[in-house]
Amino acid sequence: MSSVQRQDLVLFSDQSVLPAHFFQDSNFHNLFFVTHRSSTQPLWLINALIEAHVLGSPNSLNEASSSPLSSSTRSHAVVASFIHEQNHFINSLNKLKIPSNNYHVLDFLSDFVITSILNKPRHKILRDLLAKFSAAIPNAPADTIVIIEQPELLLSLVNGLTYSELNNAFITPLLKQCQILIIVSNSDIFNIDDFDVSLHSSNLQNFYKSTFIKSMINLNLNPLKTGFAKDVTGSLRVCRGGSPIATPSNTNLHVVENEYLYLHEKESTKLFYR
Amino acid sequence: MASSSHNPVILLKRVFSLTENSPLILCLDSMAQTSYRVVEEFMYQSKKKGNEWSIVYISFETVNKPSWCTQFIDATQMDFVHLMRQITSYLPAASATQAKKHMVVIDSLNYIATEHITRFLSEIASPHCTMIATYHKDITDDDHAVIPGGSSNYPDKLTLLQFMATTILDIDLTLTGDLDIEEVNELLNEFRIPRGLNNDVFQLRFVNKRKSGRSLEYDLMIDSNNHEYNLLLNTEQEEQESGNGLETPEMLQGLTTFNLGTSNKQKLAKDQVALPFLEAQSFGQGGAIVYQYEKDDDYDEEDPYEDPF
Repeated sequence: MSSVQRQDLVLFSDQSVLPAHFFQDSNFHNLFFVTHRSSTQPLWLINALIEAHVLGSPNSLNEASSSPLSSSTRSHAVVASFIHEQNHFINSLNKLKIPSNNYHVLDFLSDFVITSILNKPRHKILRDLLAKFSAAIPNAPADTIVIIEQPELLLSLVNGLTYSELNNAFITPLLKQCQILIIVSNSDIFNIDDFDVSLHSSNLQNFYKSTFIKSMINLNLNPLKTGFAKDVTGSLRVCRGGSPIATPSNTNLHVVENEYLYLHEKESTKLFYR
Repeated sequence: MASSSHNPVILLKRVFSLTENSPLILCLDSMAQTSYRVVEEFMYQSKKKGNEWSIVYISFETVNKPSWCTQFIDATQMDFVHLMRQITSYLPAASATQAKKHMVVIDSLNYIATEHITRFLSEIASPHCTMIATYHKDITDDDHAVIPGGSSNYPDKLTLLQFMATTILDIDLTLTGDLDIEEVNELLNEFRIPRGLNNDVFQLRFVNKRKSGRSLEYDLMIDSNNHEYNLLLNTEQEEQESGNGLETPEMLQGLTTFNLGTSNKQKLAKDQVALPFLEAQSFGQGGAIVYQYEKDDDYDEEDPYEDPF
Protein backbone atom coordinates (compact mmCIF):
# COMPACT_ATOMS: atom_id res chain seq x y z
CA MET A 1 0.00 0.00 0.00
CA SER A 2 1.32 3.36 -0.96
CA SER A 3 -0.06 5.54 1.78
CA VAL A 4 -1.03 5.41 5.40
CA GLN A 5 -4.74 5.02 6.02
CA ARG A 6 -6.23 8.50 6.02
CA GLN A 7 -9.11 9.30 8.27
CA ASP A 8 -10.66 11.76 5.88
CA LEU A 9 -14.34 12.09 5.32
CA VAL A 10 -15.13 9.91 2.32
CA LEU A 11 -18.73 9.32 1.29
CA PHE A 12 -18.50 7.78 -2.17
CA SER A 13 -16.44 5.11 -3.87
CA ASP A 14 -14.44 7.66 -5.87
CA GLN A 15 -12.98 8.82 -2.53
CA SER A 16 -14.94 12.05 -2.63
CA VAL A 17 -17.57 13.83 -0.58
CA LEU A 18 -19.49 15.29 -3.52
CA PRO A 19 -18.53 13.50 -6.75
CA ALA A 20 -18.21 15.52 -9.95
CA HIS A 21 -20.62 13.07 -11.64
CA PHE A 22 -23.49 14.65 -9.75
CA PHE A 23 -23.04 17.94 -11.53
CA GLN A 24 -22.65 16.71 -15.09
CA ASP A 25 -26.28 16.79 -16.09
CA SER A 26 -28.98 19.04 -14.68
CA ASN A 27 -31.65 16.35 -15.27
CA PHE A 28 -30.33 14.24 -12.41
CA HIS A 29 -31.09 15.03 -8.80
CA ASN A 30 -29.81 13.40 -5.64
CA LEU A 31 -31.02 13.72 -2.10
CA PHE A 32 -28.78 13.58 0.99
CA PHE A 33 -30.42 13.05 4.36
CA VAL A 34 -28.56 14.17 7.46
CA THR A 35 -30.15 13.22 10.78
CA HIS A 36 -28.90 14.31 14.16
CA ARG A 37 -29.85 14.60 17.81
CA SER A 38 -30.07 17.73 19.92
CA SER A 39 -26.81 16.74 21.59
CA THR A 40 -25.00 16.23 18.30
CA GLN A 41 -25.49 19.41 16.31
CA PRO A 42 -24.70 19.17 12.60
CA LEU A 43 -23.21 22.62 11.91
CA TRP A 44 -19.68 21.25 11.42
CA LEU A 45 -20.98 18.69 8.92
CA ILE A 46 -22.99 21.31 7.02
CA ASN A 47 -19.85 23.45 6.87
CA ALA A 48 -17.78 20.50 5.67
CA LEU A 49 -20.28 19.76 2.89
CA ILE A 50 -20.30 23.40 1.75
CA GLU A 51 -16.52 23.44 1.87
CA ALA A 52 -16.33 20.24 -0.14
CA HIS A 53 -18.59 21.81 -2.74
CA VAL A 54 -17.09 25.28 -2.91
CA LEU A 55 -13.44 24.62 -2.14
CA GLY A 56 -13.18 21.07 -3.47
CA SER A 57 -12.50 19.29 -0.19
CA PRO A 58 -13.59 19.54 3.46
CA ASN A 59 -10.45 21.32 4.68
CA SER A 60 -11.74 22.22 8.13
CA LEU A 61 -11.90 18.57 9.19
CA ASN A 62 -8.81 17.12 10.80
CA GLU A 63 -7.07 20.46 10.29
CA ALA A 64 -6.08 19.44 6.80
CA SER A 65 -3.44 21.56 5.19
CA SER A 66 -5.68 23.80 3.19
CA SER A 67 -4.14 24.45 -0.13
CA PRO A 68 -5.14 27.89 -1.34
CA LEU A 69 -8.20 27.73 -3.43
CA SER A 70 -7.89 26.34 -6.86
CA SER A 71 -10.55 27.99 -8.90
CA SER A 72 -13.34 25.52 -8.43
CA THR A 73 -15.67 25.11 -11.37
CA ARG A 74 -18.66 24.32 -9.23
CA SER A 75 -19.39 26.85 -6.67
CA HIS A 76 -22.74 27.83 -5.29
CA ALA A 77 -24.50 26.75 -2.13
CA VAL A 78 -27.85 27.83 -0.71
CA VAL A 79 -28.47 27.26 2.99
CA ALA A 80 -31.93 27.65 4.48
CA SER A 81 -32.81 27.09 8.08
CA PHE A 82 -36.00 26.95 10.11
CA ILE A 83 -34.07 26.79 13.36
CA HIS A 84 -31.08 29.11 13.03
CA GLU A 85 -30.80 32.69 11.93
CA GLN A 86 -28.67 33.93 9.09
CA ASN A 87 -25.62 34.96 11.16
CA HIS A 88 -25.25 31.48 12.60
CA PHE A 89 -24.13 30.26 9.18
CA ILE A 90 -22.48 33.41 7.89
CA ASN A 91 -20.13 33.63 10.90
CA SER A 92 -19.01 30.03 10.66
CA LEU A 93 -18.60 30.12 6.88
CA ASN A 94 -16.55 33.31 7.18
CA LYS A 95 -14.26 31.56 9.62
CA LEU A 96 -13.66 28.89 7.01
CA LYS A 97 -12.77 31.59 4.50
CA ILE A 98 -15.50 30.66 2.07
CA PRO A 99 -16.08 33.62 -0.25
CA SER A 100 -19.42 35.20 0.52
CA ASN A 101 -20.48 35.29 -3.12
CA ASN A 102 -20.34 31.50 -3.18
CA TYR A 103 -23.22 30.96 -0.80
CA HIS A 104 -26.59 32.37 0.06
CA VAL A 105 -28.31 31.97 3.42
CA LEU A 106 -32.11 32.07 3.66
CA ASP A 107 -33.50 32.85 7.08
CA PHE A 108 -36.78 31.03 7.76
CA LEU A 109 -36.65 31.74 11.47
CA SER A 110 -36.80 35.48 12.14
CA ASP A 111 -40.43 36.64 12.05
CA PHE A 112 -41.20 33.65 9.88
CA VAL A 113 -44.64 32.87 11.25
CA ILE A 114 -45.78 36.47 11.04
CA THR A 115 -44.48 37.17 7.57
CA SER A 116 -44.90 33.84 5.85
CA ILE A 117 -47.52 31.72 7.57
CA LEU A 118 -50.23 33.68 9.33
CA ASN A 119 -53.51 33.92 7.40
CA LYS A 120 -52.21 32.21 4.33
CA PRO A 121 -53.50 29.01 2.76
CA ARG A 122 -51.13 26.00 2.80
CA HIS A 123 -50.39 25.84 -0.89
CA LYS A 124 -49.49 29.55 -0.97
CA ILE A 125 -47.08 29.21 1.97
CA LEU A 126 -45.22 26.39 0.23
CA ARG A 127 -45.31 28.13 -3.15
CA ASP A 128 -43.82 31.32 -1.63
CA LEU A 129 -41.07 29.33 0.05
CA LEU A 130 -40.20 27.65 -3.24
CA ALA A 131 -40.08 31.03 -4.95
CA LYS A 132 -37.48 32.19 -2.41
CA PHE A 133 -35.28 29.26 -3.37
CA SER A 134 -35.79 29.89 -7.08
CA ALA A 135 -34.58 33.46 -6.55
CA ALA A 136 -31.54 32.28 -4.58
CA ILE A 137 -30.48 29.55 -7.01
CA PRO A 138 -28.66 31.09 -9.96
CA ASN A 139 -29.88 29.85 -13.33
CA ALA A 140 -26.52 29.05 -14.81
CA PRO A 141 -24.24 27.28 -14.18
CA ALA A 142 -26.40 24.48 -12.81
CA ASP A 143 -24.11 23.41 -10.00
CA THR A 144 -25.90 24.53 -6.88
CA ILE A 145 -26.33 22.49 -3.74
CA VAL A 146 -29.22 23.36 -1.46
CA ILE A 147 -29.09 22.63 2.25
CA ILE A 148 -32.31 22.94 4.21
CA GLU A 149 -32.36 22.60 7.96
CA GLN A 150 -35.39 21.12 9.71
CA PRO A 151 -38.12 21.52 7.07
CA GLU A 152 -40.16 19.13 9.22
CA LEU A 153 -40.99 22.12 11.42
CA LEU A 154 -43.44 23.17 8.71
CA LEU A 155 -45.59 20.20 9.74
CA SER A 156 -45.95 21.82 13.15
CA LEU A 157 -46.20 25.39 11.93
CA VAL A 158 -48.69 25.03 9.13
CA ASN A 159 -52.12 23.93 10.18
CA GLY A 160 -53.29 20.68 8.58
CA LEU A 161 -50.15 20.05 6.56
CA THR A 162 -49.45 16.35 5.96
CA TYR A 163 -46.13 14.72 5.10
CA SER A 164 -47.35 13.84 1.60
CA GLU A 165 -48.43 17.41 0.91
CA LEU A 166 -45.09 18.73 2.19
CA ASN A 167 -43.26 16.26 -0.06
CA ASN A 168 -45.38 16.87 -3.13
CA ALA A 169 -45.60 20.64 -2.92
CA PHE A 170 -42.24 21.55 -1.43
CA ILE A 171 -39.49 18.95 -1.07
CA THR A 172 -39.83 17.21 -4.45
CA PRO A 173 -40.14 20.46 -6.49
CA LEU A 174 -37.14 21.83 -4.57
CA LEU A 175 -35.12 18.72 -5.36
CA LYS A 176 -35.91 19.25 -9.03
CA GLN A 177 -34.44 22.73 -8.89
CA CYS A 178 -30.97 21.60 -7.88
CA GLN A 179 -28.60 18.69 -8.42
CA ILE A 180 -28.10 18.00 -4.75
CA LEU A 181 -30.55 18.68 -1.97
CA ILE A 182 -29.35 18.08 1.58
CA ILE A 183 -32.11 17.79 4.18
CA VAL A 184 -30.90 18.14 7.76
CA SER A 185 -33.37 16.91 10.37
CA ASN A 186 -33.49 16.42 14.09
CA SER A 187 -34.62 12.87 14.83
CA ASP A 188 -35.28 13.31 18.56
CA ILE A 189 -38.96 12.53 18.06
CA PHE A 190 -38.06 8.85 17.63
CA ASN A 191 -36.30 8.77 20.94
CA ILE A 192 -38.89 10.24 23.24
CA ASP A 193 -40.11 7.49 25.50
CA ASP A 194 -43.79 6.66 25.20
CA PHE A 195 -44.60 9.82 23.33
CA ASP A 196 -48.25 9.97 22.48
CA VAL A 197 -48.78 8.37 19.11
CA SER A 198 -50.94 11.20 17.93
CA LEU A 199 -51.73 11.93 14.33
CA HIS A 200 -49.13 14.68 14.47
CA SER A 201 -46.20 12.58 15.62
CA SER A 202 -46.96 9.85 13.09
CA ASN A 203 -47.12 12.56 10.44
CA LEU A 204 -43.63 13.68 11.51
CA GLN A 205 -42.30 10.12 11.56
CA ASN A 206 -43.76 9.50 8.11
CA PHE A 207 -41.89 12.53 6.85
CA TYR A 208 -38.55 11.19 8.13
CA LYS A 209 -39.21 7.74 6.74
CA SER A 210 -40.30 8.98 3.32
CA THR A 211 -37.27 11.27 3.15
CA PHE A 212 -34.99 8.35 3.95
CA ILE A 213 -36.61 6.28 1.20
CA LYS A 214 -36.08 9.08 -1.33
CA SER A 215 -32.50 9.77 -0.28
CA MET A 216 -29.52 7.94 -1.70
CA ILE A 217 -27.26 8.53 1.29
CA ASN A 218 -27.92 9.00 4.98
CA LEU A 219 -25.48 10.61 7.37
CA ASN A 220 -26.53 10.20 10.96
CA LEU A 221 -24.97 11.94 13.93
CA ASN A 222 -25.58 10.25 17.23
CA PRO A 223 -24.22 10.64 20.72
CA LEU A 224 -22.27 7.73 22.13
CA LYS A 225 -24.49 5.05 23.62
CA THR A 226 -22.42 5.22 26.77
CA GLY A 227 -23.06 8.91 27.19
CA PHE A 228 -20.17 11.29 26.71
CA ALA A 229 -16.43 11.02 26.65
CA LYS A 230 -13.85 13.77 26.85
CA ASP A 231 -12.26 12.88 23.56
CA VAL A 232 -15.38 11.92 21.56
CA THR A 233 -18.44 14.05 20.85
CA GLY A 234 -20.42 11.51 18.90
CA SER A 235 -20.48 9.17 15.97
CA LEU A 236 -21.12 9.84 12.31
CA ARG A 237 -22.53 6.90 10.42
CA VAL A 238 -22.60 6.90 6.63
CA CYS A 239 -25.25 4.59 5.18
CA ARG A 240 -26.94 3.91 1.88
CA GLY A 241 -30.37 5.48 1.52
CA GLY A 242 -33.44 3.96 -0.08
CA SER A 243 -32.87 5.22 -3.62
CA PRO A 244 -30.21 4.53 -6.23
CA ILE A 245 -27.59 7.13 -7.07
CA ALA A 246 -28.61 9.08 -10.16
CA THR A 247 -25.75 9.90 -12.52
CA PRO A 248 -25.88 10.46 -16.28
CA SER A 249 -23.37 7.77 -17.22
CA ASN A 250 -23.23 4.26 -15.92
CA THR A 251 -20.56 4.83 -13.31
CA ASN A 252 -20.06 2.26 -10.62
CA LEU A 253 -20.32 4.95 -8.01
CA HIS A 254 -21.62 3.74 -4.68
CA VAL A 255 -21.87 4.92 -1.11
CA VAL A 256 -18.98 3.87 1.12
CA GLU A 257 -20.71 2.81 4.31
CA ASN A 258 -18.58 3.72 7.26
CA GLU A 259 -18.69 4.86 10.84
CA TYR A 260 -16.56 7.63 12.28
CA LEU A 261 -16.15 9.01 15.75
CA TYR A 262 -15.77 12.73 15.87
CA LEU A 263 -14.49 15.25 18.36
CA HIS A 264 -15.88 18.71 18.01
CA GLU A 265 -13.80 21.44 19.60
CA LYS A 266 -14.10 25.18 19.51
CA GLU A 267 -11.96 25.69 16.43
CA SER A 268 -11.88 22.32 14.74
CA THR A 269 -13.48 18.94 14.28
CA LYS A 270 -11.49 15.72 14.13
CA LEU A 271 -12.66 12.49 12.59
CA PHE A 272 -11.51 8.98 13.47
CA TYR A 273 -12.50 5.66 12.02
CA ARG A 274 -14.45 3.57 14.40
CA MET B 1 -49.06 -25.04 1.67
CA ALA B 2 -46.50 -25.14 -1.08
CA SER B 3 -47.43 -27.09 -4.12
CA SER B 4 -44.91 -29.56 -5.39
CA SER B 5 -46.10 -29.23 -8.97
CA HIS B 6 -44.66 -25.71 -9.29
CA ASN B 7 -41.08 -24.65 -9.29
CA PRO B 8 -41.18 -21.38 -7.32
CA VAL B 9 -38.09 -19.94 -9.01
CA ILE B 10 -39.57 -20.50 -12.46
CA LEU B 11 -42.88 -19.07 -11.31
CA LEU B 12 -41.12 -15.97 -9.98
CA LYS B 13 -39.22 -15.57 -13.24
CA ARG B 14 -42.52 -15.82 -15.11
CA VAL B 15 -43.95 -13.09 -12.89
CA PHE B 16 -40.87 -10.90 -13.38
CA SER B 17 -40.99 -11.32 -17.14
CA LEU B 18 -44.77 -10.70 -17.09
CA THR B 19 -45.44 -14.06 -18.76
CA GLU B 20 -47.67 -15.06 -15.86
CA ASN B 21 -50.90 -13.16 -16.03
CA SER B 22 -51.13 -11.04 -12.89
CA PRO B 23 -52.83 -7.66 -13.24
CA LEU B 24 -51.76 -6.13 -9.93
CA ILE B 25 -48.34 -6.90 -8.52
CA LEU B 26 -47.86 -5.32 -5.11
CA CYS B 27 -44.32 -4.68 -3.89
CA LEU B 28 -44.30 -4.17 -0.13
CA ASP B 29 -41.10 -2.54 0.97
CA SER B 30 -39.66 -0.68 3.93
CA MET B 31 -36.84 1.68 4.82
CA ALA B 32 -34.56 -1.29 5.39
CA GLN B 33 -34.99 -2.64 1.87
CA THR B 34 -36.73 -0.54 -0.74
CA SER B 35 -38.35 -1.89 -3.87
CA TYR B 36 -36.26 -0.34 -6.63
CA ARG B 37 -34.09 -3.44 -7.02
CA VAL B 38 -37.22 -5.55 -7.49
CA VAL B 39 -38.55 -3.16 -10.14
CA GLU B 40 -35.15 -3.43 -11.87
CA GLU B 41 -35.58 -7.24 -11.86
CA PHE B 42 -38.88 -6.80 -13.72
CA MET B 43 -37.10 -4.72 -16.33
CA TYR B 44 -34.19 -7.17 -16.61
CA GLN B 45 -36.36 -10.27 -16.99
CA SER B 46 -38.76 -8.53 -19.40
CA LYS B 47 -35.89 -7.39 -21.57
CA LYS B 48 -34.35 -10.85 -21.51
CA LYS B 49 -37.67 -12.29 -22.62
CA GLY B 50 -37.83 -9.75 -25.44
CA ASN B 51 -40.98 -8.03 -24.26
CA GLU B 52 -41.80 -4.83 -26.04
CA TRP B 53 -44.21 -3.37 -23.55
CA SER B 54 -44.86 0.31 -23.17
CA ILE B 55 -43.91 1.36 -19.66
CA VAL B 56 -45.82 4.15 -17.94
CA TYR B 57 -44.18 5.38 -14.73
CA ILE B 58 -46.40 7.19 -12.23
CA SER B 59 -44.07 8.96 -9.84
CA PHE B 60 -44.71 10.61 -6.52
CA GLU B 61 -41.25 10.01 -5.12
CA THR B 62 -38.83 9.46 -7.97
CA VAL B 63 -37.53 12.61 -9.61
CA ASN B 64 -35.03 10.97 -11.97
CA LYS B 65 -36.77 9.45 -14.98
CA PRO B 66 -35.61 5.82 -15.35
CA SER B 67 -34.02 5.07 -18.72
CA TRP B 68 -36.43 2.23 -19.47
CA CYS B 69 -39.73 4.05 -19.15
CA THR B 70 -41.75 5.22 -22.13
CA GLN B 71 -43.93 7.76 -20.34
CA PHE B 72 -43.01 9.45 -17.07
CA ILE B 73 -45.84 11.09 -15.18
CA ASP B 74 -44.88 13.47 -12.39
CA ALA B 75 -47.90 13.04 -10.16
CA THR B 76 -46.80 15.35 -7.37
CA GLN B 77 -48.40 18.45 -8.80
CA MET B 78 -51.66 16.91 -10.00
CA ASP B 79 -55.00 16.46 -8.34
CA PHE B 80 -56.63 13.07 -8.54
CA VAL B 81 -58.97 13.75 -11.49
CA HIS B 82 -56.24 15.33 -13.56
CA LEU B 83 -53.88 12.48 -12.77
CA MET B 84 -56.42 9.83 -13.80
CA ARG B 85 -57.08 11.64 -17.06
CA GLN B 86 -53.39 11.76 -17.83
CA ILE B 87 -52.79 8.10 -17.00
CA THR B 88 -55.73 6.79 -19.01
CA SER B 89 -54.67 8.88 -22.01
CA TYR B 90 -51.52 6.72 -22.27
CA LEU B 91 -53.33 3.39 -21.88
CA PRO B 92 -55.47 1.48 -24.41
CA ALA B 93 -59.19 1.22 -23.68
CA ALA B 94 -60.13 -1.81 -21.60
CA SER B 95 -62.67 -2.82 -24.23
CA ALA B 96 -60.15 -2.86 -27.10
CA THR B 97 -59.83 -6.35 -28.52
CA GLN B 98 -56.24 -6.02 -29.60
CA ALA B 99 -53.82 -3.56 -28.09
CA LYS B 100 -50.19 -3.26 -27.19
CA LYS B 101 -49.36 -4.51 -23.71
CA HIS B 102 -48.62 -1.84 -21.11
CA MET B 103 -46.79 -1.95 -17.84
CA VAL B 104 -47.68 0.68 -15.24
CA VAL B 105 -45.14 1.27 -12.48
CA ILE B 106 -46.50 3.18 -9.48
CA ASP B 107 -44.17 4.78 -6.96
CA SER B 108 -45.82 4.74 -4.47
CA LEU B 109 -49.38 3.99 -3.42
CA ASN B 110 -48.83 5.64 -0.03
CA TYR B 111 -49.49 8.97 -1.71
CA ILE B 112 -52.96 8.01 -2.94
CA ALA B 113 -55.70 8.66 -0.41
CA THR B 114 -57.50 5.61 0.96
CA GLU B 115 -60.80 6.91 -0.36
CA HIS B 116 -59.40 7.00 -3.91
CA ILE B 117 -57.36 3.83 -3.92
CA THR B 118 -59.95 1.42 -5.33
CA ARG B 119 -61.04 3.85 -8.01
CA PHE B 120 -57.42 4.55 -8.90
CA LEU B 121 -56.56 0.89 -9.43
CA SER B 122 -59.80 -0.11 -11.11
CA GLU B 123 -59.56 2.69 -13.67
CA ILE B 124 -56.07 1.62 -14.70
CA ALA B 125 -56.79 -2.11 -14.69
CA SER B 126 -57.50 -3.67 -18.07
CA PRO B 127 -56.59 -6.89 -19.90
CA HIS B 128 -53.79 -5.01 -21.66
CA CYS B 129 -52.13 -3.69 -18.57
CA THR B 130 -50.04 -4.97 -15.68
CA MET B 131 -49.51 -2.77 -12.63
CA ILE B 132 -46.40 -2.94 -10.50
CA ALA B 133 -47.13 -0.87 -7.43
CA THR B 134 -44.89 -0.09 -4.48
CA TYR B 135 -46.26 0.44 -0.99
CA HIS B 136 -44.05 1.37 1.97
CA LYS B 137 -45.10 -0.76 4.92
CA ASP B 138 -43.56 1.39 7.63
CA ILE B 139 -45.28 4.62 6.61
CA THR B 140 -48.57 4.76 8.45
CA ASP B 141 -51.86 5.33 6.78
CA ASP B 142 -52.88 8.72 8.21
CA ASP B 143 -55.99 9.50 6.28
CA HIS B 144 -57.75 6.30 7.27
CA ALA B 145 -59.59 8.04 10.07
CA VAL B 146 -60.88 10.82 7.87
CA ILE B 147 -62.67 9.05 5.04
CA PRO B 148 -65.74 11.22 4.52
CA GLY B 149 -68.84 9.31 5.40
CA GLY B 150 -66.72 6.20 5.76
CA SER B 151 -67.51 3.47 8.14
CA SER B 152 -65.08 2.76 10.94
CA ASN B 153 -65.07 -0.84 9.78
CA TYR B 154 -63.59 0.07 6.44
CA PRO B 155 -60.22 -1.71 6.04
CA ASP B 156 -57.01 0.25 5.97
CA LYS B 157 -55.10 0.76 2.76
CA LEU B 158 -52.63 -2.07 3.21
CA THR B 159 -55.32 -4.66 3.93
CA LEU B 160 -57.27 -3.46 0.93
CA LEU B 161 -54.24 -3.66 -1.35
CA GLN B 162 -53.28 -7.12 -0.14
CA PHE B 163 -56.81 -8.26 -0.89
CA MET B 164 -56.81 -6.80 -4.39
CA ALA B 165 -53.29 -7.76 -5.45
CA THR B 166 -52.84 -10.90 -7.52
CA THR B 167 -49.17 -11.17 -6.66
CA ILE B 168 -47.54 -9.83 -3.51
CA LEU B 169 -43.79 -9.39 -3.26
CA ASP B 170 -42.99 -8.68 0.37
CA ILE B 171 -39.42 -7.44 0.41
CA ASP B 172 -37.25 -7.93 3.44
CA LEU B 173 -33.69 -7.25 4.43
CA THR B 174 -30.98 -9.90 4.46
CA LEU B 175 -28.59 -9.14 7.25
CA THR B 176 -24.95 -9.02 6.35
CA GLY B 177 -23.18 -7.45 9.31
CA ASP B 178 -22.96 -8.57 12.90
CA LEU B 179 -26.34 -7.12 13.88
CA ASP B 180 -29.33 -9.35 14.39
CA ILE B 181 -32.84 -8.51 13.28
CA GLU B 182 -33.93 -7.28 16.71
CA GLU B 183 -31.03 -4.86 16.93
CA VAL B 184 -31.74 -3.56 13.44
CA ASN B 185 -35.41 -3.01 14.30
CA GLU B 186 -34.50 -1.24 17.51
CA LEU B 187 -32.07 1.06 15.70
CA LEU B 188 -34.63 1.79 13.00
CA ASN B 189 -37.28 2.57 15.60
CA GLU B 190 -34.91 5.09 17.15
CA PHE B 191 -33.93 6.31 13.69
CA ARG B 192 -30.27 5.58 14.33
CA ILE B 193 -29.94 4.10 10.86
CA PRO B 194 -27.51 1.15 10.90
CA ARG B 195 -25.16 0.25 8.09
CA GLY B 196 -25.95 -2.64 5.77
CA LEU B 197 -29.50 -1.74 4.71
CA ASN B 198 -30.70 -1.78 1.11
CA ASN B 199 -28.39 -4.54 -0.06
CA ASP B 200 -28.10 -6.12 -3.48
CA VAL B 201 -29.08 -9.44 -1.90
CA PHE B 202 -32.41 -9.56 -0.14
CA GLN B 203 -35.30 -11.78 0.85
CA LEU B 204 -38.64 -11.92 -0.81
CA ARG B 205 -41.86 -13.47 0.41
CA PHE B 206 -43.61 -14.26 -2.82
CA VAL B 207 -47.38 -14.79 -2.78
CA ASN B 208 -49.02 -15.74 -6.03
CA LYS B 209 -52.79 -16.00 -6.13
CA ARG B 210 -53.96 -18.55 -8.68
CA LYS B 211 -57.15 -18.24 -10.68
CA SER B 212 -58.62 -21.09 -8.65
CA GLY B 213 -58.38 -18.94 -5.52
CA ARG B 214 -55.50 -20.93 -4.09
CA SER B 215 -52.48 -18.90 -3.18
CA LEU B 216 -48.91 -20.12 -3.33
CA GLU B 217 -46.44 -18.73 -0.86
CA TYR B 218 -42.68 -19.01 -0.99
CA ASP B 219 -39.65 -17.41 0.61
CA LEU B 220 -36.88 -16.63 -1.83
CA MET B 221 -33.45 -15.08 -1.70
CA ILE B 222 -32.80 -12.66 -4.57
CA ASP B 223 -29.35 -11.68 -5.74
CA SER B 224 -29.92 -8.62 -7.90
CA ASN B 225 -26.31 -8.52 -9.09
CA ASN B 226 -26.37 -11.90 -10.80
CA HIS B 227 -30.17 -12.08 -11.15
CA GLU B 228 -30.16 -15.34 -9.25
CA TYR B 229 -33.12 -16.51 -7.22
CA ASN B 230 -32.98 -19.25 -4.62
CA LEU B 231 -35.77 -20.83 -2.68
CA LEU B 232 -35.50 -20.59 1.08
CA LEU B 233 -37.21 -23.20 3.16
CA ASN B 234 -39.76 -21.37 5.17
CA THR B 235 -39.88 -21.87 8.89
CA GLU B 236 -42.77 -24.29 8.86
CA GLN B 237 -41.05 -26.62 6.43
CA GLU B 238 -37.82 -26.30 8.34
CA GLU B 239 -39.48 -27.29 11.57
CA GLN B 240 -41.06 -30.30 9.96
CA GLU B 241 -37.78 -31.43 8.56
CA SER B 242 -35.82 -30.91 11.69
CA GLY B 243 -38.54 -32.68 13.67
CA ASN B 244 -38.17 -35.82 11.58
CA GLY B 245 -34.44 -35.47 11.37
CA LEU B 246 -32.00 -37.71 13.19
CA GLU B 247 -30.66 -36.69 16.51
CA THR B 248 -27.19 -35.27 16.45
CA PRO B 249 -24.49 -36.36 18.91
CA GLU B 250 -24.41 -32.83 20.34
CA MET B 251 -27.98 -33.19 21.55
CA LEU B 252 -27.03 -36.14 23.72
CA GLN B 253 -23.91 -34.71 25.26
CA GLY B 254 -23.88 -34.00 28.96
CA LEU B 255 -27.24 -35.67 29.60
CA THR B 256 -25.96 -38.77 31.37
CA THR B 257 -22.72 -40.43 32.33
CA PHE B 258 -23.45 -43.13 29.74
CA ASN B 259 -22.35 -42.80 26.19
CA LEU B 260 -25.56 -42.39 24.22
CA GLY B 261 -23.86 -41.30 21.00
CA THR B 262 -23.19 -43.47 18.01
CA SER B 263 -19.76 -43.72 16.50
CA ASN B 264 -19.28 -43.58 12.75
CA LYS B 265 -18.42 -47.24 12.64
CA GLN B 266 -21.61 -48.11 14.51
CA LYS B 267 -23.63 -45.90 12.18
CA LEU B 268 -22.18 -47.64 9.17
CA ALA B 269 -22.98 -51.05 10.60
CA LYS B 270 -26.50 -49.87 11.42
CA ASP B 271 -27.03 -48.67 7.87
CA GLN B 272 -25.97 -52.02 6.46
CA VAL B 273 -28.50 -54.08 8.36
CA ALA B 274 -31.07 -55.32 5.90
CA LEU B 275 -34.45 -54.78 7.46
CA PRO B 276 -37.04 -57.53 6.90
CA PHE B 277 -39.74 -55.32 5.53
CA LEU B 278 -37.35 -54.03 2.86
CA GLU B 279 -36.79 -57.61 1.69
CA ALA B 280 -40.52 -58.15 1.56
CA GLN B 281 -40.91 -55.15 -0.69
CA SER B 282 -38.58 -56.59 -3.28
CA PHE B 283 -40.65 -59.77 -3.49
CA GLY B 284 -42.25 -58.85 -6.81
CA GLN B 285 -45.75 -57.87 -7.54
CA GLY B 286 -48.71 -59.22 -5.66
CA GLY B 287 -48.61 -61.56 -2.72
CA ALA B 288 -48.61 -65.31 -2.94
CA ILE B 289 -48.86 -68.06 -0.41
CA VAL B 290 -46.58 -70.91 -1.10
CA TYR B 291 -47.63 -74.02 0.67
CA GLN B 292 -45.42 -76.99 0.68
CA TYR B 293 -46.82 -80.26 1.79
CA GLU B 294 -44.95 -82.18 4.31
CA LYS B 295 -44.92 -85.91 4.49
CA ASP B 296 -47.34 -86.13 7.41
CA ASP B 297 -49.93 -83.87 5.82
CA ASP B 298 -53.17 -85.61 5.19
CA TYR B 299 -54.65 -83.87 2.18
CA ASP B 300 -57.67 -85.08 0.34
CA GLU B 301 -58.04 -83.49 -3.09
CA GLU B 302 -61.73 -84.35 -3.31
CA ASP B 303 -62.68 -82.72 -0.06
CA PRO B 304 -63.86 -79.17 -0.95
CA TYR B 305 -63.44 -77.96 2.64
CA GLU B 306 -59.85 -78.96 2.87
CA ASP B 307 -58.34 -76.00 1.10
CA PRO B 308 -54.92 -75.16 2.43
CA PHE B 309 -55.32 -71.60 1.08
